[in-house]
Amino acid sequence: MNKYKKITLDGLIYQNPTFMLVLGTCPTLGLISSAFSAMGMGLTVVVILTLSNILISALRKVIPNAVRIPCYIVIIATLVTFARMFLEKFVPDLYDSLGGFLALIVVNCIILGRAEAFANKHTVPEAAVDGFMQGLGFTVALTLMGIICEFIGKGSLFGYQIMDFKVGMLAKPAGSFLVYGICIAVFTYVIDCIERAKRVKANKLARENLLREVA
Amino acid sequence: MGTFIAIVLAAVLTNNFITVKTYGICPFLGVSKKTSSAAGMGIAVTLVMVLATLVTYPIYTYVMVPLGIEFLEIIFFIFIIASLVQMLEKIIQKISPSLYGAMGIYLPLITTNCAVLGVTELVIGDMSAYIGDASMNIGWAVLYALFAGLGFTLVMIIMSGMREKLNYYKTAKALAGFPIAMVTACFICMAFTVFSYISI
Amino acid sequence: MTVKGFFKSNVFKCLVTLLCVLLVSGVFLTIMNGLLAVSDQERLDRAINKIYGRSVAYTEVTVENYNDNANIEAAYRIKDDGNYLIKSTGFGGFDNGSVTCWVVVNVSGGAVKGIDKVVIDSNKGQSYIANINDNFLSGFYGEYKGDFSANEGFIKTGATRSATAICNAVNGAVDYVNGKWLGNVTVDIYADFELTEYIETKKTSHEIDEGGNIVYNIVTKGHTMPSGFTVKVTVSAEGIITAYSIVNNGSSPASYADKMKPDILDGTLFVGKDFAGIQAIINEGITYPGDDKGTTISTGATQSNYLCVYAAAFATKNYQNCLDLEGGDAEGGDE
Repeated sequence: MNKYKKITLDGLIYQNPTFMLVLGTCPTLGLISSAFSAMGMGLTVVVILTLSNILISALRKVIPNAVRIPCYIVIIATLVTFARMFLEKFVPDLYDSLGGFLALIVVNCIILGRAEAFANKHTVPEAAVDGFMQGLGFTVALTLMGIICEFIGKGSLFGYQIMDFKVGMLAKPAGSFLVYGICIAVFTYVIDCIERAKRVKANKLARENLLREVA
Repeated sequence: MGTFIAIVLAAVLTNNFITVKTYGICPFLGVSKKTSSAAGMGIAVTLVMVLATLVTYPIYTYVMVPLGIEFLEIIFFIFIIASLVQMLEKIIQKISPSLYGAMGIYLPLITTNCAVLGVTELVIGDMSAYIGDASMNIGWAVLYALFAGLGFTLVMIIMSGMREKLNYYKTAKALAGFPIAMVTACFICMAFTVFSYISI
Repeated sequence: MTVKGFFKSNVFKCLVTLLCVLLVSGVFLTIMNGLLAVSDQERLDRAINKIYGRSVAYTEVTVENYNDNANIEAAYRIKDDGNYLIKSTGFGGFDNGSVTCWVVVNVSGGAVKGIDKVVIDSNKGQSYIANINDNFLSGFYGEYKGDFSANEGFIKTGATRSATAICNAVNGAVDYVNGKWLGNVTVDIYADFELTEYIETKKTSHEIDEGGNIVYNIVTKGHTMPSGFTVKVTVSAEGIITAYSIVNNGSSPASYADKMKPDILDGTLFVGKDFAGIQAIINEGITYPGDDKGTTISTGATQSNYLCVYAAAFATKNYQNCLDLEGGDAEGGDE
């Protein structure tokens, strides 16, 4: 069970695709001006990433090494096309707000990256959990930044107007860059502090043990 | 002539790929530490964008639409782009090893660059915002791709210049790397906002 | 490499795998496309429901135009409440651009009751369109009192020309509903008349009595300074003006009204004159003589005087046209 816990923590925190690896930046910057589209993009990626990880992991022994990248691209492109049809039919609002970025999920480095780095080396359940957690990490990060940008940039949350005060810049690409940059900085700083505290504690324990042994 | 100017201005300034559409951010942040590499990447992306549009636009308009298989566009386009990039790499390696040395390392990265897939998807969609009443054809499509690529290169070069200067200053540890690059990009975007007031 | 060797080689395996993956993807997507394709009808339903705010049944109607300042793109009648949804493009925006709006026209009891909703669909060259906000658009909502004008009753937006185009679009939609379905207004019956340059043809009306006298109620357009005049003119059977009175003086500011020629103010200048007589007052073509002193109507309120003369000229010149109009109507029935 420890294995899955590690995959989960990696996906959400230590290898968070948005804040730690800084992958999939184009849809992130393009869509965080609205919390709704940011979350929609995140959830779409969760589904596509989980499915692509499962498929690629299941086919990892069938696909010859030489043509693996083209095969992955075809599988991902198929899933994206399917997602596009599905959203257009059943969630047209989200389909409209994602715009061109929906098709660009194909070239989102997170998906091909996870296929290459994880799915083709692990079993199906592990790959599925990894895909889901990485996607979830992406979704949480996007939604968080979407809320910040939309609240300050438009004075609304998920489309509901809350206040009149707004800083229009934050709803533009310039603001997206700024918020994304600051969020990465804060995230890495906090992780850094926690790690350091852990290390200090471990060192202290080690020293106490040593002292006790010496005594 | 009016359409020509409108497309050029929109592609380079008012609807710049990086500062307005936020396409192609990975190379923008990843390969912009030095001006020479930024320019090389920009030119390589421009080249692939033009070639990809030159191939995908006619295939989409004259083959896929008549056959009714528009829904396969993503698979077709990504395959065409990937093969183009591979071919281009081989050709450049054969013809001019020095050019390959300067540009070759960027080419494999371009397959998964959203600017390339983005432009091929854009030109088959609704372009009326750029070309006005003129009817869309391959000429406009390639022209748009060319200048969108040049606009991309322009911002890449500006960014690399700023990052080279940033090297002279000490940044806080948490801000070093991507965060400070994004704050820099924020200022470039704000500067480009000025161009959104251009109306033709 | 032998043929047999090729079939056993890695290259063959790679090719087969890739082709299989492609084939499966293609088949899967084709089936899904068949299941999930969104038809044009569905797209239209969605667009209409989104604008209307709830799902509605509607009928599409063919489009004709009733207004020069707007172009009706599409029109739908909502089945359950009898309102109309009009897609209308208004002209006269900034830099000769236009704005396309969706307008919900509320109709009850056979009359336009008001505007329920205006949604901006697209625009051409309106760089300040972002200044048009919901506050501005809500100026259209509520009871319909007459044509909208960007200068009245609206919050100033900083995008006056775009606002004008939107007003034109909304007016066009109302005119269209009025003319096409309610038969109230406003096929421009004076469109073929002469001397209509300064006449608000849609607001002007006339009656013919048994004796062949035509009583006009003429509304003029404004000139540079004064706004429109409303003038009541009676033209007798010989084409001679028998009565002339100014119902509404558009001269502004009011102090200019005092500078108008007194015999124009009380109408005595025109009484007893036919079209030739009016020409004698001003000039052959009834064109504006300019502000120079020395013309017969230069009194310090030349433009106001000119509009009054113009109305008289319109009334006399088109006497026969009016009679023809009635004749044509009689033949054509209620059409």
